Amino acid sequence: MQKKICLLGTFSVGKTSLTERFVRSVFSERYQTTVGVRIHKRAVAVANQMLDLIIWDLAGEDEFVSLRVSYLRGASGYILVADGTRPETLDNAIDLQHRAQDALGDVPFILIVNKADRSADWAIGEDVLSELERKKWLLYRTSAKTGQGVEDAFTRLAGEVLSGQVVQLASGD
Amino acid sequence: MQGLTGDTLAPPSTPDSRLAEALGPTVEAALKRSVRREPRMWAECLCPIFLPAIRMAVANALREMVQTLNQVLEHSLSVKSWRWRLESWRTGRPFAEVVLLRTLVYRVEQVLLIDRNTGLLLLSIAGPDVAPHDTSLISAMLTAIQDFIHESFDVERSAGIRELHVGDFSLWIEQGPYAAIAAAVRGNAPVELRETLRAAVDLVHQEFGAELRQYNGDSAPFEACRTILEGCLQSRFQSAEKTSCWKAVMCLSGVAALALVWGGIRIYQARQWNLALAALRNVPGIMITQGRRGVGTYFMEGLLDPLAESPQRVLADHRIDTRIVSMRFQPFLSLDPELVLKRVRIALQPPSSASLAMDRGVLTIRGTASHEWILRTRNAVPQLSMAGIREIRTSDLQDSDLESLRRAIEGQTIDFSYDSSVVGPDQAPFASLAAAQSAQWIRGSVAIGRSPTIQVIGYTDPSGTSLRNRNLSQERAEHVAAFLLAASVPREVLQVVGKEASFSSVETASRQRKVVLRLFPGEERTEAQ
Repeated sequence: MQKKICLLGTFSVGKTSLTERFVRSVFSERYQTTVGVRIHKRAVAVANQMLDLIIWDLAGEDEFVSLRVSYLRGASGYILVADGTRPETLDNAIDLQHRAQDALGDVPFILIVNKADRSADWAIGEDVLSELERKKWLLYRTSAKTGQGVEDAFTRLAGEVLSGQVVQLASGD
Repeated sequence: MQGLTGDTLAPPSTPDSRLAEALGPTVEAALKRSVRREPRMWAECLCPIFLPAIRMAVANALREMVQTLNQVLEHSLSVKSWRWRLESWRTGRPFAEVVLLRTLVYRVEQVLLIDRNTGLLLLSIAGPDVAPHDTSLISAMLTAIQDFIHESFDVERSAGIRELHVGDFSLWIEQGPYAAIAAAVRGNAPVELRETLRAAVDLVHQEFGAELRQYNGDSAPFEACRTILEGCLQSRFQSAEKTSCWKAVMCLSGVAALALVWGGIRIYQARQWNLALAALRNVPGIMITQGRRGVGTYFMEGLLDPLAESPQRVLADHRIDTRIVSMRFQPFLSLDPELVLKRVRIALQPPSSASLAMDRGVLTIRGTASHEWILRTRNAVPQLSMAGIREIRTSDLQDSDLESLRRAIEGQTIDFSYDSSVVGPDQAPFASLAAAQSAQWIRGSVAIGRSPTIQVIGYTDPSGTSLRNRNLSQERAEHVAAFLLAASVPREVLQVVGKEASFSSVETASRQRKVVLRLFPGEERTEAQ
C-alpha cells in the first residue's frame, strides 16, 4: 500500500531538515528550487501493515514562490510545517491548509510546529496552538535537530490516512 | 456414475459453473486414482505435451548460454573490447554493462505503470542487468515534472508529455485515461515502440479499468499487468559484422592462392635448377662441385675448361635468369675426347680434307693432307701429349704431295732398243730424273713414317724366245735400278723384276720394250711416342 503525502510550509521552516532525517530520497535538493518539489519515500508500519508514504516536499512559499496547487492532486494527506520561532509561518500554514482543503477536500493532515528545541526563542503562543487543537487539528511540536516528535507525527498521519479518518475542521469559531 | 451423469449433465439449462462444480471433485478423484494405478500410462500420455516444453526450455537456456558465451568471446580479444575495458575501469561500470551499452541500438530498460492522478507507481518492471531504482520515487517525480510543465507553460493536462530526451536516454510516455506507461529507453528506439506502448496502455485499461478507477494506493491488483508490461521490454543490439567473416575468408583465400602460386613457382624453379645442374654435369669440360638455391638467388662452383660450352647458355636453355646466378669456376684442362680434339684442331689447324678422331689417347687422322702438314703434325706429338695425345695414327692419311710425285714417277717409262738392255743415251736423262724423283719420294715417305718400296719392272716385246726375253727384261730392270741406286735410293727398298713378254693389242712392240717403276708407300711404321 502506498499513499501520496504533501509537505507544505513557508520557506525555511525546516521541512528539508525534517525529511532528510526521516525519509529516503534519491533526488537532489536542486529539484525543489527548479521544479518546486522534491520526492521522498518513507515506509511506516501502521496497524501491522506497511505503508509507503510518497512524500511530495513542496517548495516553501514566500513572496517569490507560490504554491503549485497541481502538486497536491491525488494526495491522501498533507503535513503543514511552521517554525515555532516565527509566528508568521503559522499564519502561512493556516493559509496553506485552506488552499489544500480547497484542492483536496477533507483529507487527513497534521500541523508540525518545528524547532521545539529552541524553546527560548519560541514565539508562538500556546493559546494559538491550543485553539488549533481545539479545532481538531493534529498538532505536533517537533525538532528536526533532535528528532523529537517527528516519527510520531509521520506515523500518526499514516494512521489517519489509512483509517480514512477525516479531521473535521472547525469552521472558524 | 449413471446417476451422477443423469443428474448433472442431462439438464441443458444447467449453468456451466454448476456443471463444473458438480463434476470437479469426482473428476479429480478419478484422475488421482488413475494416476496412482497407471502411472506409466499417464507418463506416456503426458510425454508428448511435456517433452516439447522441456526441450524448448532447455534449448532456450542453452541458446542464451551460447549467446552470452559468443558475446563474451566476441568482445574478449578485440581492440574495441580493450577500449571498453578501459571505459569500464574508468567509469566503475561492470564490463558487461559497458559492452551492452556500446553494442546497443536501443533497449527498453524499465517500464512503469503510473496512476495519473496520484503519480503513484502501480507496477514497474526492469530488463535484465538493469540497475534497480526506486521506481516509486521516479514515478512521483515524473508526475511532478509533468505537472510542472503543465502549470508552467499552461498546457492542458490531458495533453501529456510523450517523450523526454537526455543524451542517448529517453523516456517514452503513453497516456491513458487513468494510467500512463513510461518506458525508459536507452538508444534510438524505432517508432514501432510507440505502438507497442499504446497497445499496452489500452490493454491495461481494458482489463483493469475498474481497478484503475477505484485505485486507493493498493497496487497489488496490478501485478497481473506484468505480462503486458513485459511485452514492452524490447531491445535490439548491433548484429555482428558478417562482412568480417567473408573478408577474412577472402584474405585467407588470397594468402593461400599467393602461397600456392609462390610454392608452384618455387617448385618449378627447383625443378629447372636441378635439370640445369644435371645438364651442366653432362657438358664436357664442366665439373660442378657445388650448386645450391636460395630465395631468388642461385649459386654454383666447380671447374671449367676454357673450351667448354658456356654455362650461361646451358642455364639460359633451362630458363634460368643468369643475372641472379652467382658462379665461381676454376679453370682446368679437361681430357674429355671432344675437348681434346677441339684443342688439337686449334693446335694443328688441319685442312678440310683431313678428318680427326680420338680414341683413348690415340689421334687418328684420315683423308688427305700436304706433306708439310703431316710432317708438322708428327713433330707436334710431344707437345700434344700435354693435351692427352699419346699417339697419332696416319695410316689412312694420304700425303697429297708424295702421291702426286708417285703418279708422276709411275707415269714415266724408260724405253729400250730391240734386244738391248742398255739405257740408251736418249733415255738416260729420263732414267736419271725418275731415279732422283724416286729418291725424293722415298725420303718423303720415310719422313712421314712409312715403309716405302719401289718395284723396277722390266719388259720385252713378244719376239724372241721366252728364256731370252726373261733375261733381257731382268737386265733392263737392273740397269734402271742402277740409276736409282746411283740416286741414293736404298737397295733394300728396291725390287727388280723382269717380266715375260706378252701380246698386247694396244701397244706397239717398241713401246713394250721398257722399264717402269711402281711405288708402294707401305704401312705406317709403329713408333713409340
